[in-house]
Amino acid sequence: MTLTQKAELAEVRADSLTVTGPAGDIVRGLSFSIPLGATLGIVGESGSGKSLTARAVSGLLPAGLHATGTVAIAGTDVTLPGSAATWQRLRGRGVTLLLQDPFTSLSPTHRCGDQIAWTLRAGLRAGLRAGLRAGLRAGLRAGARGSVRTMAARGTGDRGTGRPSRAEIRDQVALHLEEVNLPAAVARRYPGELSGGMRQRVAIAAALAASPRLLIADEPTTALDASNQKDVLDLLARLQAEHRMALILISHDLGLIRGYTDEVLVMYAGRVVEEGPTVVLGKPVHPYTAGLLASDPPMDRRLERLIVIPGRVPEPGHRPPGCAFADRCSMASEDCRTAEPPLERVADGRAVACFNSHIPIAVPDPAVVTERWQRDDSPAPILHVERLVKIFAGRPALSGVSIDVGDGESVGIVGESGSGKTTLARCVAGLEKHDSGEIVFRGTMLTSDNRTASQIQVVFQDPYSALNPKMRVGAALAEALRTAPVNQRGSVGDLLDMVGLPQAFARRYPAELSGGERQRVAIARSLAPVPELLICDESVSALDVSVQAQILNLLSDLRQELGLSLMFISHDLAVVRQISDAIYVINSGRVVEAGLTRDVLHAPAQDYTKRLVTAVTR
Amino acid sequence: MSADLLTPAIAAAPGVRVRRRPVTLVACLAILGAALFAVLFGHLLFPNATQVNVLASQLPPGSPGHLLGTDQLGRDIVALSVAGAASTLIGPLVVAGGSMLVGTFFGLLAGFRQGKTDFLLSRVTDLLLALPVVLLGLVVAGIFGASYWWTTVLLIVVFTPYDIRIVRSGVIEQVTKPYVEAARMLRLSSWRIMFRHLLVNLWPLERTNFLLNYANAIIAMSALSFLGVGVQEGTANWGRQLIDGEQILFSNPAASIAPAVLIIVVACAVNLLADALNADDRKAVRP
Repeated sequence: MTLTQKAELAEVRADSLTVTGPAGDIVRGLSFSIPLGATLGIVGESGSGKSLTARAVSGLLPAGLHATGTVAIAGTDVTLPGSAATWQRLRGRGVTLLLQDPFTSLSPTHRCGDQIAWTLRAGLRAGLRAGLRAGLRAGLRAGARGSVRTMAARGTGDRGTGRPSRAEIRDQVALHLEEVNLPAAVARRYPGELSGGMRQRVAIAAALAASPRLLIADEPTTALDASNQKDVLDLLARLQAEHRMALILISHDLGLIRGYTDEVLVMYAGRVVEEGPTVVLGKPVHPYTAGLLASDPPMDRRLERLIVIPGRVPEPGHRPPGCAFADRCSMASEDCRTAEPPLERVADGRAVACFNSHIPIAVPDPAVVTERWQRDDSPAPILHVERLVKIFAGRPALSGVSIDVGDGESVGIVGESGSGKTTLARCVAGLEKHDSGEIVFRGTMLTSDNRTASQIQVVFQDPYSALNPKMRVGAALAEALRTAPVNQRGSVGDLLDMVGLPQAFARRYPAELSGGERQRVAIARSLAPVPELLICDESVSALDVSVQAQILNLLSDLRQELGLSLMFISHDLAVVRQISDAIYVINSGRVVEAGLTRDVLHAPAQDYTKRLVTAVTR
Repeated sequence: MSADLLTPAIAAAPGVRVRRRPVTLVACLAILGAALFAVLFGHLLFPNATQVNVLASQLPPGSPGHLLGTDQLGRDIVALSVAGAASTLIGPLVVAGGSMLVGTFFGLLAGFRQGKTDFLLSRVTDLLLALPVVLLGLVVAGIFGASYWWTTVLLIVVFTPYDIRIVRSGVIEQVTKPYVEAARMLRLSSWRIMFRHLLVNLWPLERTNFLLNYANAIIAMSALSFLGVGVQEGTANWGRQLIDGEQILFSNPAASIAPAVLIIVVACAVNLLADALNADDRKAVRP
């Protein structure tokens, strides 16, 4: 074996990877190489092509999409798209894909242990085949020397070790669970009985059971709480070092994964716009990278306005000529709109696709708000919740929560998933009936019959299911407007204007909108009845950081314009810092700490709050 | 986020769908088109199909002028089969349509209101499901006489509980989605949420169920006709042909085989059409 061959075996490579869909190229000419034991981050907004890259490299593209190019994983070359048999052989031991949502990536009707055992067995079978082939080859060589017995002995020998007993599998599963810091008893549990963080660990254990050379983690922490995010990323980093595998970490949040990668590849509209060692990318050269970094909200201060990348990623088939980012770029010149900048190597191992890469980027330094807000101690807050109790199937979700939201105030409710914060929001909104306690709105106790649409509205988390897919935006808004008091009734155009969408969107269906645009429509709909209190239930946590910043800015604008009071439910402390004057920290259905946002986040008094604050990775 | 990513690629080209088996779809549509033609114009093509002609009774298949022969009353099997399409296929259409309307209404009500309404409707549904169809058919025929439309009404009653259950479970799946909760937050009326928001999103379910019910109703009605409950003696009807053909199974087997094959072919075509439409829907849905 020559030296170059050895080098090839020790890395994962992709060359001129292209994914084509019905409307044209979705990913174009992507190349990378990762040595075993190193991590590559792929970063970009939704629609940039990062997830399809992951799927192309693992042979899992959805029907209708076609991949070309070559992929080399630890010595096996695949010319894409690659045959089903090739991928069958390669998946598991060669490459494994870890998906975003641990709630849907595990089978709900099988025990966790069984699901780990599947990969384990598949890996052993693949190993057995490889072993047999090696045995045959050795046997043939031996056969040339005249001994057929060696061949037979080799063959059966391998088969003998290839079929482990039940007990052996059980021990192996326990070992794999131990590796991800889970007790062996989890093997007998169903995914539904575990928390999100635990499920993602089971998924990781299953992914690693066949010892892949390349693990692709597609947004592995997006569905998780901040505290779990850090744990899962730390776990992945540790396992990667132990298994000496190549890791591709895909995320929309550059700030989040920056600490866990060796190299980063920034994708926009299907192309690489900037790549290089992670340390180098801390000072971005491409305006898009700079925008991604800057739109991450800080937790230590509150900004007047968050920095945003305006607009949205163009869809395949609708990409402008020239640089696809030009329309959203503050530095774009005429050249950018006519010719596409090539990806060129510059200093420090960095490559960048920008005509203006020689011009240093002036990242605007946004004004920091001095939080002078004092809680309104007036006797009549807009919302007063007194000792609220809600019990689900004998288990208390809220055990006596009391909160106040002052007139025009923005109050954050923070806690991990399962803490009861969403139940609180749903009770206040009237979507759940509380078991005891009081909800007083402007001096009137709210029951299930005396509510009106113009008191409280909710903006939900998932913009994809929050709009009726069969209803045009205009019709949905018009319907909501009819619930407003007659003298305050606006028009669909006003509403679209208010949330920064063009009038033409009234004729669109939700499927024709991006996630951020849908969330704007959902906000517009909730504002139609002119509510006094807006509840945002994790309203930005399903969005890309760049879009999240846009929506947060929109919400604070609307607050000022309309004098709205806000109840902002979130697990993301940095987001809450940007939008809330005061916060309540909730754990196990109880308020554990409350106060001004600044005070609580700077000097948390309770252990639970301290844990939440230190878990923030950025 | 990974799922959202796939949207643009598919949303951008709604017309481009990978059809693996358009042959099935075309064949189904051709069969149903021919059936529709027979329903609409069968009586014009063969105005004398049901006329008794004892002189030509029980001719075997291949007789001159009678491709599939005649039955014991001398009626031409081809003519009778074409003329029989109308009575065989219209009744089931009414059954499937009627049970869809009634089932949708009560299914929506049960799934959306839940609580007491749901309990009451579900128990009535259970009761109806427990009734034996054939026995019920014979009893109804005994009381009201063997009438075509009474049989249709009976089948609507028998089919509705299944529709209620299916629509109810579809509603229960939709009702916790944020778009329905947003409608609740707007204090929209229950009727508006049910018929303006939920119903449109149940359409794929309704359509599939309608087609499957139609195929089942064709068979159920033919079966009742075979028992002599559905249609009057002497009427052109595939189920009726089966019972009449049974008596001359050996002298002219085509008298039984022709209507049997027609029932099977049309029922299969409807089922396969439902399948094909469903598969198209699944592809159109974003992954």
